[in-house]
Amino acid sequence: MTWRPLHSRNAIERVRLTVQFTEPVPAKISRQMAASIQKTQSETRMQGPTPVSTTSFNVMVDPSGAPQVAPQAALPPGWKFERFASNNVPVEACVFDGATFIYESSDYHRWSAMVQRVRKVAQDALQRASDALTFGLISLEYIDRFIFEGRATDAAIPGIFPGLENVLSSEAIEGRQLWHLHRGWYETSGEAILLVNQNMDAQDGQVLGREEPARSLQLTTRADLRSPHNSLEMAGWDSNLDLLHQTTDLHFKKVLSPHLHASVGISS
Amino acid sequence: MIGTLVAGLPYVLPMIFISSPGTSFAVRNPDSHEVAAPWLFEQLSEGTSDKTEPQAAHVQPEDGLSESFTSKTVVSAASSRQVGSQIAPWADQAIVSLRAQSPKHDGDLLDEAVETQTAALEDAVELISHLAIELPDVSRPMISIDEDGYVCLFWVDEDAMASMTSYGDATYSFFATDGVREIRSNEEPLGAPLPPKLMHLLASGIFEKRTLAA
Repeated sequence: MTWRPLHSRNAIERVRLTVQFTEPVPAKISRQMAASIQKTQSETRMQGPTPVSTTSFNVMVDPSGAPQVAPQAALPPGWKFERFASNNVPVEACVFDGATFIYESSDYHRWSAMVQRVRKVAQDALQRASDALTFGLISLEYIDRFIFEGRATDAAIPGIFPGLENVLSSEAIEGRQLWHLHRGWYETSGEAILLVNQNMDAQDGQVLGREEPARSLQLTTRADLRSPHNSLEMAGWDSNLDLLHQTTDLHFKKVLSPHLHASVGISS
Repeated sequence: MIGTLVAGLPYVLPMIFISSPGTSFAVRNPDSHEVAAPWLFEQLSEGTSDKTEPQAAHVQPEDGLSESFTSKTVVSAASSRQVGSQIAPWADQAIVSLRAQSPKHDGDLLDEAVETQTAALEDAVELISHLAIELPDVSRPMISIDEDGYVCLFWVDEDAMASMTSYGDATYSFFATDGVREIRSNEEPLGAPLPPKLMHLLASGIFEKRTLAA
C-alpha cells in the first residue's frame, strides 16, 4: 500500500498568499482597494464585497506570568470577495481585515497561472494600498495532502517522508499512532532573508465506502519575507513572489520521498 | 511581553477532497464560510496538535519563528461530514484515460502532431482538473483527439452542446450553445477560471447527471 497525492496532478489542497501591512489601513484606502477588485468582478467572477469584522485584543503577560487581555482599538471594517463553484462552494477568496490581505484558492493548477490571477484580481488593490502604506510581510503557503491507500495504522512514514526515524517515536514512524512535526527556520537567498515554516500533520478521516478511517498527511510549507530585512515594495512584487514560490517548492521537494515526485509533477 | 491576539479574520476555504474514482476522502465542509487566521490551520480529525492553545490566537514571539503556526483548532469528528460531491467524481478516471493515450506516429496522426498531442493531453488534464472543481455537477465529457493532436472535451445533449479544445500551448478554445444562444472564444488561458458566460451555461444544468461514455 502506498501514499498518493490528493489530486491526479498534484497534492495541493490550497494555496494562500498573505500580505500584511505595518499599520492598519485607513478606511478610505480600504474602500478604494475593494472598489478596484469590484471593477473587474464581471470578468474575474469574484463576488463581493461582503463585510468582514475583526476583533482584536492586546495580551500582556505580567512578571508573575498571569495573562491580561485588554481590548485594542478596533480595526476598520474589512471585506471579502469570493468565487464560487457551480454548487456554491467558494473556491477562491480575497479577504481584507484592515491590516492583512489574503488571497486563497483551492483551484490551483500552475504557478504562472496563479501569478496572473493574483495580478488580475488583486494587484491594483495592493498597489493602491502600497502607495500610502508599507508591507510588513509577504507570505506564500502551500497546503498539500497525501492519502494512504491502505489501513491507517499501516501508514508508515518512510514511504512518504524519509529520514524522520530519529525525531519521532517508532509507533509514529510505523503509522500506528498519529503524529505531527512542526518546524521552522530562517534562511538567506541572495540578500533576502526568508522565514520558512514546514508542518506535517497526520490526520485520520473517512473515505466513502470504507468503514475504517483513512490516514492522510497534511504538509504545509510556508515562506515569509518580512520587513525591514527585505524590500517589500510593489516594484519587486513579481520577484518576491517568485522567490517565495521557489523556496516553498524546494522544501516541498526536499521533504517528499523521491518516488512520489513524479506523482505531483516534479522531476527528481 | 506584549503580543496581539486577532480573532475573526482571515479565511479558510472549505476542505475539498477527492479520492480514487467513485470515492471521496472526508471530512470537513462548513455550512458557513470558515473563518480562520492564516496561521491557523485546521485539523480534520482528532490529531496530535496543540489543543491547549487558544483558537484563532496569534501571539507573535520575538524571533517570529513559530509565529506562523502557533495556533490550532481541532475539529471533532462529530462536526465532520462527507464532501464527496464537491469535485466531479469522474475527473480522476478521465485523467487516467487521457494519460493512457500515448501519441502514435502511425495511423492518421501526423508526425508533427505527436509533440502537439503530448502537450495538448497534459493541458486537457489540467482543464479537467479545473472543471472538476468549478463544475462538480456537470457530467463527464466525451474526449476526442484530432489529427493535428488537439484534444477536445465535449458534451452533447439534444439541442445543447459544448466543447473545449486544448492545443498544447497553455490555451484552449470553446464553443457552446443551449439551442438559443451561442458563445465562443478562440483563445482562453489555461489555469484561469472559466469565462462567466461559459460557466453560466455549463452550470445551468443542461449537462448534469447524464453520464456519457468517454
